[in-house]
Amino acid sequence: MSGITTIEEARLRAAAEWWLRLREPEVSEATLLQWIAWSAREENLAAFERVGTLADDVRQLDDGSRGLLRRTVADQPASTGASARSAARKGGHRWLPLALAAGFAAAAAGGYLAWTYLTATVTRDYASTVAQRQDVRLPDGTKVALGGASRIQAHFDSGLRKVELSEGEAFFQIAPDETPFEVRVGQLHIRDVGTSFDVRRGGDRVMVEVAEGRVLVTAPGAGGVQEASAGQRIVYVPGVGLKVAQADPTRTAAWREQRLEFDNEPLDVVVASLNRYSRRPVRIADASLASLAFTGTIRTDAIDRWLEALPQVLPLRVEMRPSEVVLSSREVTARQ
Amino acid sequence: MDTVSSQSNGAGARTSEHVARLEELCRTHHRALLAFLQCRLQSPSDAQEVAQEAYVRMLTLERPENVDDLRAYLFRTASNLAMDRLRQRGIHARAVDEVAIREAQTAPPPERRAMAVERLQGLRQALGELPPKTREAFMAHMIEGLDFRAVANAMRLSERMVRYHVTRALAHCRARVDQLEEG
Repeated sequence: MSGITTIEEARLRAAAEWWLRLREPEVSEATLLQWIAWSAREENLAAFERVGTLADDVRQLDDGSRGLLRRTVADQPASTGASARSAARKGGHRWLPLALAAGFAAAAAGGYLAWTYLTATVTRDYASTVAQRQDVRLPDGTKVALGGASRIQAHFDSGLRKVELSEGEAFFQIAPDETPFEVRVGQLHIRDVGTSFDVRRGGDRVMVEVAEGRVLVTAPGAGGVQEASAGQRIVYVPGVGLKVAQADPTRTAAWREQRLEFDNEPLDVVVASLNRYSRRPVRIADASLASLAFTGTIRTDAIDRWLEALPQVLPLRVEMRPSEVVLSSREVTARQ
Repeated sequence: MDTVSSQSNGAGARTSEHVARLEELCRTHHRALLAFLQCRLQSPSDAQEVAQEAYVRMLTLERPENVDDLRAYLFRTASNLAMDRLRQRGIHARAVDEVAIREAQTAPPPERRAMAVERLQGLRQALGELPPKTREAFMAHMIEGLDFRAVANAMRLSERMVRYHVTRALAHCRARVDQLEEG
């Protein structure tokens, strides 16, 4: 092999060195500072990412490809030590001793990770059905009001009180504790700082409204950090990010008093909320209606009345069928 | 407002200033932080989560003004969290409890196992071009998964030399694969 011929290859070597260095068990303060300085150069970081991608690919290779590479290497001239060994065995399985040694290495790694303690974990599921509201108390004393057709999983251990909202809406009144409390909605993380707050999930869109205290919300990607305090709401839309807006604290989690409050929200989000309370499912037949904005209050005990009046507010047609309610666009009606 | 550090009132202003600094930090260093974590954790989703967790830790700092290098602190925090996660993996691998099993079941499968044919071809060519020891060290560490000490013992080299060989091999493979893929 020729020596380093280009700046690019020198850069790749530095990147490869970093890849090895960052996989060491310990990372010193000096290493961290050097990494920050080195990776600040765009070309360096890009080289590192490329080396890392290849290295990860190689380490995750399937058995067939591994075999192919082993055979490729077996056809090449070997270094002196290995060739003496392989000559004795008539070539071919030069990698066998190392492959066997791999078993011992794995055992050693197990020892390194043999921690003497186990963390105690508590996991619980809670769910409500359509039009049902449910109050639950989590193992730490936190009170949760579950909206209709909503589901949470609490997963507590010594480091974190974690609750996953997989469907619907919930209002949290967090019990004070040293262990941090976090609500997760997909990739969105909501960290409480002594608080009560409401979280609503409508498809990929998430709304967090704070009644008391503060919450910190983080979304994946750059710039995905926001904070909200009492009287504020954060709306997360995938691809757009986090947005903070003022909210009316008297209307936060009004669903607990049978009112659904919407402030300039798309119709599909409104319908998703509605369907958690309506015994007859509501369906949007024309995709063009989904983005119509709605502001107002819906009483969960008078959903049908609201639906009947909806054509006065939005340009659409409502069809009350025995098993469902269909919202369609008005143009279709005009043509019929 | 800045000079008044009364507990109740100063906190708000300090916080918003701190949040603004963090947002800036997040914008400029997110990629480097993710690359760092991905390398430590060997999992994109874990890297993503730890990065988010690190930002939250930074946001909830009691006295951010006492931290003189926020950037270094961010990386240190993330590095410690990654360490915790590696330890936890060790625990989970051992604890046969309901939670560990459920998490293992819901964990995403390894991204991509088979390599594109052209890339594999490039890799074979690159390996053929390497000096024998460099190639052997690369195969033992990267393909057979031996740690540096085991490779050093098997090849009768120092660990430092093994690292040197693996570094060279990785850089050369990357350069060769790039060259072939660019046409």
